[in-house]
Amino acid sequence: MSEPDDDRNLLNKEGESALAGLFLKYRDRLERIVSFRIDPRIRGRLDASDVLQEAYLDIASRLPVFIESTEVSFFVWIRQRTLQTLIDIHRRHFRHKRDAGRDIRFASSQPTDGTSLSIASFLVDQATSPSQAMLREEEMKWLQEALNGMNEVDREVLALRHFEQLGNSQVAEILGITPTAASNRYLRAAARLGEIMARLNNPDHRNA
Amino acid sequence: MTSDDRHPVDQLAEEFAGRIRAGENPDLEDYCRSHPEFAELIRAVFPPIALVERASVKEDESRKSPGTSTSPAPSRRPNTPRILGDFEIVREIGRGGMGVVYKAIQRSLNREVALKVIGASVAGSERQLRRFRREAESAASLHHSNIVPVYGIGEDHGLQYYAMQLIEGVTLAEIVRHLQLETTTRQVPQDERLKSGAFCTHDAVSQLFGSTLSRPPQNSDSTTTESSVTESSVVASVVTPARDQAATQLNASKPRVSRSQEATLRLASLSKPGLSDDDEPDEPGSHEPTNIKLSPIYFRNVARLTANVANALEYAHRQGILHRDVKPANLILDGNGTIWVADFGLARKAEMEGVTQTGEIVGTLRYMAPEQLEGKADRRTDVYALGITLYELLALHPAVDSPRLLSGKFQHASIPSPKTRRSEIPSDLATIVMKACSADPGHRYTTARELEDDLKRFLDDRPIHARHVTLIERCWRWSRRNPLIASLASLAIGLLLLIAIILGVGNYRMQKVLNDRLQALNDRDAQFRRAEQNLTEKTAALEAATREQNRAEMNLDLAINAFEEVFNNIAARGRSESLLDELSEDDYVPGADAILTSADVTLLETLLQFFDRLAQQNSKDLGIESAVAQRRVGDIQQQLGRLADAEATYREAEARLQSASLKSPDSAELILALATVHQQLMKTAAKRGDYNATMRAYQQVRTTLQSSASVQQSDDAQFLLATTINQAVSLSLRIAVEPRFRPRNPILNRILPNLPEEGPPPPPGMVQRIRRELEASKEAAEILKALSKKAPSNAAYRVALAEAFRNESRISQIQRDWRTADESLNQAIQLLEGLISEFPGSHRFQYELADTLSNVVSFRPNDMKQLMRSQQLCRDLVKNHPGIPEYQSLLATTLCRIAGVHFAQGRAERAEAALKEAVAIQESLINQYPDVVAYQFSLARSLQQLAQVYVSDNRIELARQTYDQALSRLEILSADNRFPNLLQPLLSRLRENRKKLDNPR
Repeated sequence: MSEPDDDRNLLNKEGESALAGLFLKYRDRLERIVSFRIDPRIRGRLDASDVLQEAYLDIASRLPVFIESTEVSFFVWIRQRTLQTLIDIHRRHFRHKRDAGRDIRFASSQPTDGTSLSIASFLVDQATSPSQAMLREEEMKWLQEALNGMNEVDREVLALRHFEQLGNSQVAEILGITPTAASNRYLRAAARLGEIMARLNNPDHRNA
Repeated sequence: MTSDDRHPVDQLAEEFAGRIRAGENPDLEDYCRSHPEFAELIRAVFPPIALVERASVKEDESRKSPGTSTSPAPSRRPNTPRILGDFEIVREIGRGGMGVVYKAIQRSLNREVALKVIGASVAGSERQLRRFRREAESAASLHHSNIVPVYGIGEDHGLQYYAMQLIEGVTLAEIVRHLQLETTTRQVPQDERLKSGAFCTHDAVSQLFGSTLSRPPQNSDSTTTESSVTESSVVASVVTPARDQAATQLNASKPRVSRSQEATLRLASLSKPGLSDDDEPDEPGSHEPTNIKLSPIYFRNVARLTANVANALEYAHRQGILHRDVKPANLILDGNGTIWVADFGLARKAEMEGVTQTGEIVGTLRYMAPEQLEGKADRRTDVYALGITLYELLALHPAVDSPRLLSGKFQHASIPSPKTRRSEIPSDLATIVMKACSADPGHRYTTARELEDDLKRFLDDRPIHARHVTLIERCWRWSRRNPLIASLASLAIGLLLLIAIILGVGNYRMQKVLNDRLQALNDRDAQFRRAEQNLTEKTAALEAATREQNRAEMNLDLAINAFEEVFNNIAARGRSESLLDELSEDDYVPGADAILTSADVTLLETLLQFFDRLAQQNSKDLGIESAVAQRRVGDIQQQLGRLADAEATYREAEARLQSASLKSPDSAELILALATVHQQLMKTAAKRGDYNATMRAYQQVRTTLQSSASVQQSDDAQFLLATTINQAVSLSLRIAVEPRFRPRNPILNRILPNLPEEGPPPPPGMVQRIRRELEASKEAAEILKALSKKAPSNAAYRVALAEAFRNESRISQIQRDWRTADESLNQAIQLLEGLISEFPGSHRFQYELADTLSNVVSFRPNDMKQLMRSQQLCRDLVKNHPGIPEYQSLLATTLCRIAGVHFAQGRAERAEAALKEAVAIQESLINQYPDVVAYQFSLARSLQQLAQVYVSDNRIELARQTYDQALSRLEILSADNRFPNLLQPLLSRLRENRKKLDNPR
């Protein structure tokens, strides 16, 4: 795990020439995040690296803004820019489809709705892996149901920690809360997920 | 993570999740035991955490671990392999647009295969499934040493899959990415490269830099490449019996570890020798882009591989199968240095269209030929994609950048030469690339074989067939591909400026005249100003457009519209019936050129240049536009009186449209464009006085419009037909008809006011012809009536209908059918009166009516009432719009006709007064527009008429002076010999009459 301050120091010292290297350092994590957040309907056609390529250009052009006036760490910032790029790409992709009526999910997407959609499609996607399809189908179904039953912040925290594989301090930065609060929220979310799962697993409680 | 502000259990949970992520199966109770104080919380949160983490764990396997950016290093799946039909999954080796690729064992044959699996539950699966099956079916029929063989297709557990030969290798996309890093940022440390993750790509890269590819393997050894299979990233090893030999040979000649070491050395050395000649020193850690040169052997290897791919494509093309998705990610280089083409026939036309609409092809867009975006594809489409792939391999840079790809409207127009990215690329190879990825399919290699041949010529150091495209030629081609943008954009700017200047001068001149007369603003002035402003704006827009190319097309459209406006303005000037009658002599049908000012001529010449350039955009994708532009050139030539040129131009436009209509015989646009060309050919023939050619062209308009039943019934086609009939009748009444059978020339009436009844009947052939024309005219009237009924607010239909009635009236006059002539004329007058009351603000209809009424005199020589009405309309027009010369000209003409009636009825004084006013108007017009022949001509006629009046009044000296005045004007005019047909008859008549005065009998 990198030290955000190091990133910033490097950028302050070397400016744009350090950007390529830093971006490369986080490229795989960003790719993972993009793969997770990308709309399932275009996942097959839009390669995460294309998104990253576009995001990189955006990041490069905004680098002075980051150096001058952005508070967050470098990684959190490029994550945010990358997701914005992805949102823009989504818009372009679905701009012409609004009238098709198939677009309700996307049209109404709030970031958190997007998260639940991402999780859902991610879980569905898992099922396409033959080795997992049978073994965990039931489990996945429950998990999805459970996640759907959670509140948005809890779901987001879990997604950031596990699907995006971010650390607690990064989650705190993204959510704009203290690391302590982020940590507590994470454990609380996990506990709630456990409760919901237990309820779902136990048919007697399902209607309770 | 450094933060200590976290809940202790969070830290434990992170460790716990991390172990799951790493494929372990940590025990919850261990944690409880070591942290009893948190046991309860641990038991509550760890199971859901484990579940969520497992849900995302598979994703982790296909991702790379942070730090090794060049090649993913998937860990072996902890779960037991699944069975799909005859296949036993070993592990995932890659993901593509269609699904996931696994390494698998085909149990019945006990061979390793690559299994491409698509999930039934994936969104949009219906379409993907169809595509998947088709891909497999078409690919299964191909057997070529560079095409990945497809073994079969199947379905199990709701999963579609197909099995293909397992290729151990690396995609060219990975190689490019690897080299990009190597040559630009050098971010990958040497030791990192030797890690297993980067191993295979690195290996492949080393092949490209070594001579491995060009040399057949030498020795034999029994090692297989399983080590690489377990460690390599995406594509696994080929272990088919057929390739065993080669694979093992290669391994012997270049043992794995030493090869990778060599690769490292190669890459380390490639930076230095390449630079030693002339470039800056190679400083470690420098981030300068492209500061490492690629070696000549790399380029040769790339050329060889591309030639092999071209060979494979040629083979598939001969089977009638297009790949449609050639790109680096679909080309795999294996350990033997063999290149493999995968994913054949992925996309089909119909689907591409759907995909393009939803924009789901961004990942592949870069490699798509322009025509493919429109759903068209042929073998040259694959050639293009291979060209772009080659480009990327040479330049280590995409031919088209992502932002441009993603910026909505994507233009392939300007792919820079790969040498601009890397100067060390051999020129011939760059030339081959540029030819292969020409945006215009016509400029590409027509077959993959041609591309392969040229690449082989390059490899053999023979001269290649592709010509080096110079910068100028590239500009030119670009302008041909982008007729609306390139050279035309700058030309259009120049022309718009010029037009603005011409209009500005005209404006200035008008203002001067007006100031002299203390007149206020007038229409023409405002019109000029508007046009000027308009053009200035458009010019500015165009200038901006050359800086900003993607807007240029739109702006050039604006420019074209502006030009057409200018043209139509000028063309409309020659439309006055009265003026045509004035100019009409014998067999000569006056060209509108007689009415042009020198500024008009300059304008037309510049427009001609412009449209001529536009028409030269003779590329196939521009068929109809260029043909229409060409027709426009013909129109201008016709307007300028260059009838032979115009006809030749029309013929060419006709040929282009006809060849285009072979492909789409029912295109309304094409049919109408073709009919319009024939219509113009008809007018040109009429102006040449060739009656038969006129009628042939007229028939062609009819035939063309009838070629498609649906088009024929359309309003546009009907209207075109009706106006063509109108024109044909009107022209036919002027050409090849003996003067005495023509509709009465009002001037002849004035001079020799015969009563029409006294004329001889027309000869039999003439009678037939006239009858035909009357029928045609009636047909036009019927069509236009129907159209007007359908669209009552469309004034154009009614104006055309009035013209049809006017024609009927004229024909009836020739037939001596005075009653019908009268009725038809009244219908025309009524229509126009209706339009005037409906559109009181539009002077156009007043002008039309005045024009029509002025011609009444031709068969109702004494109908002073209509002439006075015409005169009144003209006076109103001139008063309200003093700047418009056409209105003044029509007033003068009408005055002359009134004078004719006065004179015929013995009122010489009033005739003289009217003629004097007409002469004054015409002289003032000539002062303003000294170069308009028609005004000179009209003045000469008025003077002649005035002289007649003087003669009758016995004022011989005045008559003589007046004749001399007229003669001197005409003689000056005839000196430049522009309108001999028009001038000579009048000149000789004037001279004759003048002579009579000198030698009175």
